Amino acid sequence: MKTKALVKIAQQLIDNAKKEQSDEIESLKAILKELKKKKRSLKEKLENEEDEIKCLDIQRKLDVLSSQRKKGLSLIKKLKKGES
Amino acid sequence: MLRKILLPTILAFLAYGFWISPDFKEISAGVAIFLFGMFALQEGFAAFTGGTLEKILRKSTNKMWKSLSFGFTAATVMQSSSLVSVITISFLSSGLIGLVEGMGIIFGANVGTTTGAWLIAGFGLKVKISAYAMPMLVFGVVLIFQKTKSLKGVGYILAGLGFLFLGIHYMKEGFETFQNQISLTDYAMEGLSGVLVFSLIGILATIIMQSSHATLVLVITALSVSQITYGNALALVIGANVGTTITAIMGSITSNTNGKRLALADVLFKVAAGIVFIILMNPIMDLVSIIATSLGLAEDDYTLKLAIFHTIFNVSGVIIMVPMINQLINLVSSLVPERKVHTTEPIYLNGSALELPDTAIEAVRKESVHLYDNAFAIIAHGLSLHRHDILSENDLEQIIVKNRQAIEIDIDEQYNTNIKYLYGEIIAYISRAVMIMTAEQNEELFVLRAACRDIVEAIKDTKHLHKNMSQYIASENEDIRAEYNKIRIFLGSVLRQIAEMEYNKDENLSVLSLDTIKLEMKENDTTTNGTLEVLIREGRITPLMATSLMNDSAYVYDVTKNLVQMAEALFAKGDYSMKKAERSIMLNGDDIDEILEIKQTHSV
Repeated sequence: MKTKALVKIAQQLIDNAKKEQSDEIESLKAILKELKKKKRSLKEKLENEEDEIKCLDIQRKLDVLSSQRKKGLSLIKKLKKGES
Repeated sequence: MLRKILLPTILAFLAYGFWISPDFKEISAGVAIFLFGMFALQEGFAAFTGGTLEKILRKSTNKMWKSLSFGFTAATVMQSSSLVSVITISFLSSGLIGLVEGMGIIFGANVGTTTGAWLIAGFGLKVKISAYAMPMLVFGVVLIFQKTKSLKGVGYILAGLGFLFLGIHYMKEGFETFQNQISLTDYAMEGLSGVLVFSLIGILATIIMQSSHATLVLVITALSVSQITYGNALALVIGANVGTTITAIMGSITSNTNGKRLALADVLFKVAAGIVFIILMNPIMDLVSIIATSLGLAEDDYTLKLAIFHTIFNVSGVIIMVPMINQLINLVSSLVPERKVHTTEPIYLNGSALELPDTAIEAVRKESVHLYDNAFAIIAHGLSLHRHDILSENDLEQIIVKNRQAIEIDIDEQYNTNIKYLYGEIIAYISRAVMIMTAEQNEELFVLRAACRDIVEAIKDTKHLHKNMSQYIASENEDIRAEYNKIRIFLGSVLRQIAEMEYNKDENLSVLSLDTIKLEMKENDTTTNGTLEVLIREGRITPLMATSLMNDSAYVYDVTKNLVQMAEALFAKGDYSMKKAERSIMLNGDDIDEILEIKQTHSV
């Protein structure tokens, strides 16, 4: 196999990995956007809720959403670092 | 419908029978005690599977001549081929021996029983083993209370034999009225019709008296006072030999398929031999006469001639049947087929889908969801919850608090019927599918396989949980009841959330929402949040209840973990990169602990 062909294959592999990474970043961004929307709506719900048990339940969901978003944001950072 | 009315009809018929006839009551009680004895006998022999008795039995029956000798010796010592047949059926039902060995023993016992005819004819002697019934019962029950497995086993065997004898005794007592009504002179007939009628009388008399030996005594007595002809007496012996199989037939009622096959083989053997002897009655009578003369017996010594006939009958039967044993096994196997256990079949796994990787993955995913749907029913019932209650929007707490009745479920049986086979088929399909997959697709299959394993694990943990739960949700102790109800509410809500995801009730609901369950599980863990200590300290639950609750909390944790993992794998939406992204931000144990720590810091 000629060097030119080998370089072409290597380039293709790098491009695929890059595409996969950028796809993952895009997916993460879409998920985080959705989580943010959910967080906002839950916060509104919490402000209007008077039942103590339901409040605890909403708060639990909010805690989980915050933690997931935090994890997602740091992952995007890491992926972007790798990309650059 | 028919099944529903069958049992009440039988019970009503029996009750009516008991009311109008005390004899019928006694006979039925005898049958019931006999069957109970069979249960005890099988239980006893089951204790010895894999032990010394199994080794001894295997060694003494591993060749046809050994099986025959074993049966011959046993029947000679016990003086009852029926008893040997019944014990052999129990051996077979407990898996101690195989069908061929069992047949060998029974054939041997048929020859062994002829020694009885000689004893009766020669010495008028009758060994009455039923006299040992009472001591056997007493010794048996004493041994059943012992802790050692083998002593318990011996206890069950002795009690089983005791009950068998007692059952036979009651049946005999019940039939006594009919026995006195048997007057052989009323039926005296010559020719083939005489042979047929007397064979039938022989069968009936043996069923009534529960002993072919008793029939032989009756025949010899009738013959000695010329109540019947010599030919009729021989027909009676043939009938007695067929009638004696009734004990084995009754014994096989409680046994497995092989036990039933053995009883049928015994019947076929004796009926076939009976037919052959009826056809060849005259030449065989001549043969008996030749043997009697060569032994120096008097022409009218009919009792010993009967013993010779009985011996020829059984020995020639065995000689004819032993070479045909494989054909006999095939025949009884086709007449009594193995009861097919209905198992859930796969719906989506088809071979042609294996050509297309994505289709194959989708087939596996759908089949895994099918597996989960079956598991859902088992887990829900294991928690004593109805599926429709979980799938409804009604308040679970209200449903659970109202319902203290545990749902009866055999989780092992349900697992074998609805899960095991299907799970195996999925695993087999995956191992074939991986051959054509890319690394990415293989990863997807790996996730699905792990999800199936999670489903199975969740069922197994539910099984452990079910034992205490069904007891404590009906407990009079409010606190333990409340704790177990909390578990039911929690796991019920887990199943409900997963169902919402499965049936796509909320389009925005993603598998990420399952992380809330993980947090809730940790927050509500009775064993770590101090609730358990308070309950024990204040004496509201016993230490035994506390340990049960601690162990079961671990099962709750495992069931939840497995169900959440499974749902994350099976119900994730979107393409591969979306699923991968979701999985990467799902919370693990450390993330949950971190949330709890932050919460605690805030509350302080």
